[in-house]
Amino acid sequence: MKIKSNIIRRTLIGSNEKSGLVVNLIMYVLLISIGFVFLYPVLYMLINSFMSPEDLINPAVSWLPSGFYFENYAKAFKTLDFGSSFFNSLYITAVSTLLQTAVCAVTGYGLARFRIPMKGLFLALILFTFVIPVETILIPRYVMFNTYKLLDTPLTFWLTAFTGQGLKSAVFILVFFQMFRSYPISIDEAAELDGAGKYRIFSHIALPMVKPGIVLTVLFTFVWYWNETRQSGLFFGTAIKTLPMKLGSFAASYSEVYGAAAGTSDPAVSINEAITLAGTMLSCLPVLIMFVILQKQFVESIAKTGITGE
Amino acid sequence: MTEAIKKKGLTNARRNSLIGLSFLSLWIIGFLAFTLYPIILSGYFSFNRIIMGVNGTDYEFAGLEFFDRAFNEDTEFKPKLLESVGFIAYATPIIVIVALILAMMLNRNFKGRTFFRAVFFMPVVIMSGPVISELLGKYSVDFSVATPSLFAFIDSLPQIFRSPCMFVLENLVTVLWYSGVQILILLISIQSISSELYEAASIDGASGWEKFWKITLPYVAPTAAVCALYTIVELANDSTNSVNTYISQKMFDNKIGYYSYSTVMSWIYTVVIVLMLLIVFLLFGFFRRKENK
Repeated sequence: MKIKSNIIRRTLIGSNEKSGLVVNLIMYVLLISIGFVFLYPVLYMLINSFMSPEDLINPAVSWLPSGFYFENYAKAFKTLDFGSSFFNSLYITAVSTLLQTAVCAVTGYGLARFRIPMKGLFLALILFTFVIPVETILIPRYVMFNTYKLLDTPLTFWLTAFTGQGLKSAVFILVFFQMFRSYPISIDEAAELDGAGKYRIFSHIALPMVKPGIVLTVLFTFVWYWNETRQSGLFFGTAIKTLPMKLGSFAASYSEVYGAAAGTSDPAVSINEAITLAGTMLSCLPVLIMFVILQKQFVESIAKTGITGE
Repeated sequence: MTEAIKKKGLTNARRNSLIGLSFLSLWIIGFLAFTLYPIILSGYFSFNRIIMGVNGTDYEFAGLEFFDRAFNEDTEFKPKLLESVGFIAYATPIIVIVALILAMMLNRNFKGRTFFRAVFFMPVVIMSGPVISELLGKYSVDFSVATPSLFAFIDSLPQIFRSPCMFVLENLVTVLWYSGVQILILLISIQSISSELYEAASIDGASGWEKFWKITLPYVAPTAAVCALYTIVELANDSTNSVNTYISQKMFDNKIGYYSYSTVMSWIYTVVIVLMLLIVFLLFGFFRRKENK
């Protein structure tokens, strides 16, 4: 009798080695419900972006649209001026990413492998650039860029990225610092004995050692620059429109393109929820696709760089 | 020997540190030009009124006028500051705790782990100001409406418990959407705990609950501290944040000296944020010291 109850107990609750049915069930229920909370806005967006104006009005249609209505996407595509704003986002982000990755790696290596006077001060200052709210720096930067006639050009992003003052540069510098420090210095010394200069050691030996760090920096910088709207709104004004910026002014550009104010009663021309959501979908889509393809790299690059604060 | 050094001009150590500085040079230039100089400039703006004329910009000494305005005259600034700071103060502990719970769940071996990891991480990838205001502002699940009975129960609680609970329910999606990076970092930290520790504890008869408090928590505490600091910085710099919107809004108002008033507000905001960071830092330091004793 006792043995039987033990077996039941083991299958339901589990033992030290293996968790039982009940525990697993609770786990799955919890994970699925939390996962649903995460996904809900995205699912809502995806489904509703395919709704025709009739579906939106029809109270019987709440989750499944009566058909795929691609007209929303066509309209959103035109409103976002997708071709040109996508291209703007792409080249500004790509160049910023390359520059930021390069300079963070170089700075991290300098800090990790050389005896630099006041190294502690440098590290503290790098942390400081991360901690200080951007607000304080943004306005003077705007004034500076205005004085040097750099406003409305992507140089505003590229210059700060190239000098290690870009979006969250400090985080990546510290990641590289940590990684460069953690492989044995004897490898560098061996190369030096073979006659390699310091810069050659960096490019040919040190850089290939920190590939996960490079992957991490490239992926995250790309995503963060892609989604950045505050600095781009301030520095690019109306001269360059990136995809998220276009989304920010979606309703206004829609009435410009289609010549109808948001309040018009004719459902065929007026802007509706479905069109806005199609626009949101379009603006997320490039990074979302990138994430689906590179999902493993995103998640594992953090693990491989070994940055967990210890 | 000394002759040789003189000939070369530099000792090895000197040369080494010079090459090191050359690696740092880009960052140093950037720091001076795009961080330090702007900070000095913004200090100057805070005490001077900017006058934009036909033939350029003029500055007029204004003393503490703008600070006075922020604290005493502006009826909008203080509530907005409180709102943002309150949001950060509430959301940070919730994000860190939720991230820790999710990280521990993801640490178990089960089918579909990769999928859930990707789901929890997805917001990091698509999150931008307009997307948040488009999606989370309008279409996220508001649990205070979705679950009326739970709502009624919380409403009957005393004020101290009520407001955090209400906040969690109302902003659950927003809070969860901000925890992607933190979940991963904590997960890695948990995974790096040696399994021998847990085995030894099991042999000594420790329950799962005890193992969590005695092994997992002390081990991930430093990482959790890093996560808390990261969260504060992340939330403070969020463009949908009400103080940030207000500051950007006032930038081009010529009645209050263009950028001057905005810089003053951002300085006040900065001081508050730095204070919060310090509090978190000291709190974790305090617990750590207690742990070591």
